[in-house]
Amino acid sequence: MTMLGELEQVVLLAVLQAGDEAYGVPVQTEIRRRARRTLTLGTIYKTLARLEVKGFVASRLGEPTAERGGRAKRYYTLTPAGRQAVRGSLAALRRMAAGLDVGLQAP
Amino acid sequence: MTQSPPTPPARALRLLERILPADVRDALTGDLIETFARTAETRGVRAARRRFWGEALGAAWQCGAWRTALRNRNGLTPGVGLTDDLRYAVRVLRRAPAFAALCVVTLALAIGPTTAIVSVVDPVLFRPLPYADPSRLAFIWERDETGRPVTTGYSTIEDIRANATALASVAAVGSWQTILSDPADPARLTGSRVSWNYFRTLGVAPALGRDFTTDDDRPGHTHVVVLTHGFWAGRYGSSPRVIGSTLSLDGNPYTVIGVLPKGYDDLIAHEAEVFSPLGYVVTQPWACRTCRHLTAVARVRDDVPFARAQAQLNQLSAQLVRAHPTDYPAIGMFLKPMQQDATSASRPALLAILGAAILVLLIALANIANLQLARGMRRDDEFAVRIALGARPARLTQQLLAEGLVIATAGGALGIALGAAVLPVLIARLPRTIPRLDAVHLDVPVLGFVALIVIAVAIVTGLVPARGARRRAVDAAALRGGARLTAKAGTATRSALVIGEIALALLLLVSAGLLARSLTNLLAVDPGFDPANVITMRVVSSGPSYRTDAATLDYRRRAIAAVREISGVLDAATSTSLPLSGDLDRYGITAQDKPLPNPALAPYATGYRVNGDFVRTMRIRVLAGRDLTPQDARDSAAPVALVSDALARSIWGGESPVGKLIHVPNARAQWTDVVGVVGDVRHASLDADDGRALYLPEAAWGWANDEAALVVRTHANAPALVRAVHAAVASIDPSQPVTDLRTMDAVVSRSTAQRQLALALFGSFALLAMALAAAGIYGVLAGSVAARTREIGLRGALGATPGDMLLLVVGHGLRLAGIGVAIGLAGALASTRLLRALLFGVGPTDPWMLGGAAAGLFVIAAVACAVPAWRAVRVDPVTALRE
Repeated sequence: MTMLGELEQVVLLAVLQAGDEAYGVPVQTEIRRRARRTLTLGTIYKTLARLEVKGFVASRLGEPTAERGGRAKRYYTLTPAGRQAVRGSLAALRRMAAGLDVGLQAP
Repeated sequence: MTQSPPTPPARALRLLERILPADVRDALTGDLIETFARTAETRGVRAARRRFWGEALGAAWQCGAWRTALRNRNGLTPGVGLTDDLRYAVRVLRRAPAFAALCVVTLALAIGPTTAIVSVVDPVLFRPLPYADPSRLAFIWERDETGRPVTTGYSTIEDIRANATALASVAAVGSWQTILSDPADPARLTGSRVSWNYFRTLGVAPALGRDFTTDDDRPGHTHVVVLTHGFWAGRYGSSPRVIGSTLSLDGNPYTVIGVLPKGYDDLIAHEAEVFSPLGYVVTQPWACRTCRHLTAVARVRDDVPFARAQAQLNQLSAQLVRAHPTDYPAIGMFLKPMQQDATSASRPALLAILGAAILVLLIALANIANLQLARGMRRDDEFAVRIALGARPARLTQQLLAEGLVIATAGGALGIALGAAVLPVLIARLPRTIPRLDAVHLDVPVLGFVALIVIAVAIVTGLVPARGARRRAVDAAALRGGARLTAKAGTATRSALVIGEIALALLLLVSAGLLARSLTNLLAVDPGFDPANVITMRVVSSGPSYRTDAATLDYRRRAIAAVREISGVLDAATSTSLPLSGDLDRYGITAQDKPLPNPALAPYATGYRVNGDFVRTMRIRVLAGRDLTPQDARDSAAPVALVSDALARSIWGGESPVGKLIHVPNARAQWTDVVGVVGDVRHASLDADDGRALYLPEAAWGWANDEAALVVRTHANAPALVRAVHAAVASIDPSQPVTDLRTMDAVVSRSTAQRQLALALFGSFALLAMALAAAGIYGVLAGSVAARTREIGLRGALGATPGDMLLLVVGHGLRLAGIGVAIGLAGALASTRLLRALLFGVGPTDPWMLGGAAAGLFVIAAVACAVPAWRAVRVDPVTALRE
């Protein structure tokens, strides 16, 4: 099974958190709010492109809107393989942390 | 609020628009604009702008890595290296095997002959001779009364050696044929008699043993030989013990003193096997100034330019003419750089053949570019998709280059294999007079040349289609049907390529036609004798049993008698010279009633010293007087001779020469009686010979030659009697070698070998070129008919007849052919004069040839139009319009 990179994990989880509205801005916001990290949109899209090649996310174009200067949004959703990868990744983290001092325990 | 909303920084936006891959460009910039508006509201415009710039630069920074990710998504293997492209190219070409095979075979057919011809031309014409500092070596020739270079006499060479300070050394070379009297295997050897410093002048040292010294080069001390490497290896199995051993040459013992190095190549005697010292001193009668049978070889001093050495020789010549006015026909000497001079006879033919091969290569290139273009148009969809997915145009170009490289490499490899196969055939058919054929190999410089061709082919076949493909793909990505609009651009390039092919093919066709015409003209030349049903061979009489001239002449007479016994043989004779065989034996003839102020100006004539009835055997016409008779050959007979018409004219003008007295150098008698005039015989070559000749009984000559040509006229079917004739001659004395057994037809044919070869090559090149040009026309028309199916259907629906359709397509094809032919004719007018040296009896711009070639190409073009035209006629309007 392909191991996810740390950045990939974060972006995949952010896409999940953003739900139906998972395009660039909400994904960036979720990461800032929850992980307290500021990733540039460039980094996010690059990561998404890599995830798309690996088959973990799929994307579709939305309708262009005026507030975006007539540009369309690109919405991302996790594929079944993507969900499987996140699950596997988190489970691995949990197993690695099991039995360690309190405070190091994974969620 | 009336204030207009703040806008994101335009420059940053432009940067993003330019660098971002197409598929995320909108999403990312849209996100940024959205964020900008929100940030401006909450934290102010300045902060928003700062953030926007930060994001834009971050995205730019990511771009490189991004491309890799995107390429992966576009279905290419990861990495940007050429290796991946090559692998992909192989895969793509494997999916189009017919196309790939056509390209590779076309290339191989062009590269193969080019490789073989370059292999010959490079060492023969261009590569430095295998001597020390070869650029300083030269031949020195005297000048005859017509301004042509001629060989020189020993006394003159001695004067040059003593007085020409510009020359570091001067050597003399005389030709030498000798018989190796080996009881087991007698052989006739070729070689040179050379002054002691010959090899030192060339800068060549023996690989084994020693060089000649001044001691060897004295009268009576010359019985030493140096062997060539090839002869040593072939005859003596490369045994070093041969040094110091003794050979019997012409019945005399010669000591082997040295063996030349392996790469040694003699420019004067190409097939030399043995060298021996000349042993001349100026007091000997045969060392005289008019005894012009030696070639002078000189090394010009390093610090002296050729022009100054030449000037010094001219000055010296003027002094010599002043001192010996009756010994020289004209003032002046030629100092000719060795390589250039040795190859001057074959240079025009070789360069013409090389030029033809390069034309074929160009046509093949155009054809492959054309095929690639046609294929490129069919791949528009593939390119459009890739561009749309973010492939940079440069990336597509690299891909097409890789495909070109794969095709070119395969074609080059196959071409080299073909060249290697053709080369021995080519060498075997080249005239032996071309020097340095031993140095001809498929070697590193030649392979380097092929590598350059391969790279050029890759670039042409890759870049030409890439240009159009990129443009069309961008259009196609922009709007559906865009490809339709711009397909014209590609068609124009293809048409231009086809026109070029036709022009080059015409050039080759005209050249081949001119050469074919020259050869038929040449073979139609009356040689002055009837070569049909004549067998010829060289007979030799050497060794202890032939010490006297009488023995030699007796041997010849017995051979003639034995051959005449054979049923089917009409006549037989011997002569010291054989027409068109390359024998050269000329003497200055003076008439008693036409004394000359300067005997050196006496007209030179070929001397045929004959036994038996040579004139009747060869069927040379007797124009006046009588033929020679057996009585004339008796020792007691009055000295008589026949002269050729041309010789009679140049001495006596219109007067009849019969009964006049002439002086023939080396004849036994001071004066010889002219008893008859015979027709001119082409002796030196069919295309250039002055026809001056003299026939006299060999018994009337000062000595008997140790070899002669035996000619035998048979009833019919000469080849069938060759064996019987050979057996009859061998039965006289089995110890004497019989060589060069041929029919006279073969001798005549061989004298045109260089032209035949040039014709064969030009002919096959022209055929190949026409086939390629026809394929090109066909390809363009077929593509155009396919692209215009809808239009043709519409025309059909609107009432166009099949005749109109035919006219449409054939008209298109013939228009291309017309332009190509026009350009080709202009090219032919400008360039066929380069062939002049090979032409005979036809001008380089012969209107019949030009017209015929043009008509021929039109016919080919019309044939190439046929299939596409037929397809156009068969287009069903309903189906075409419904598609």
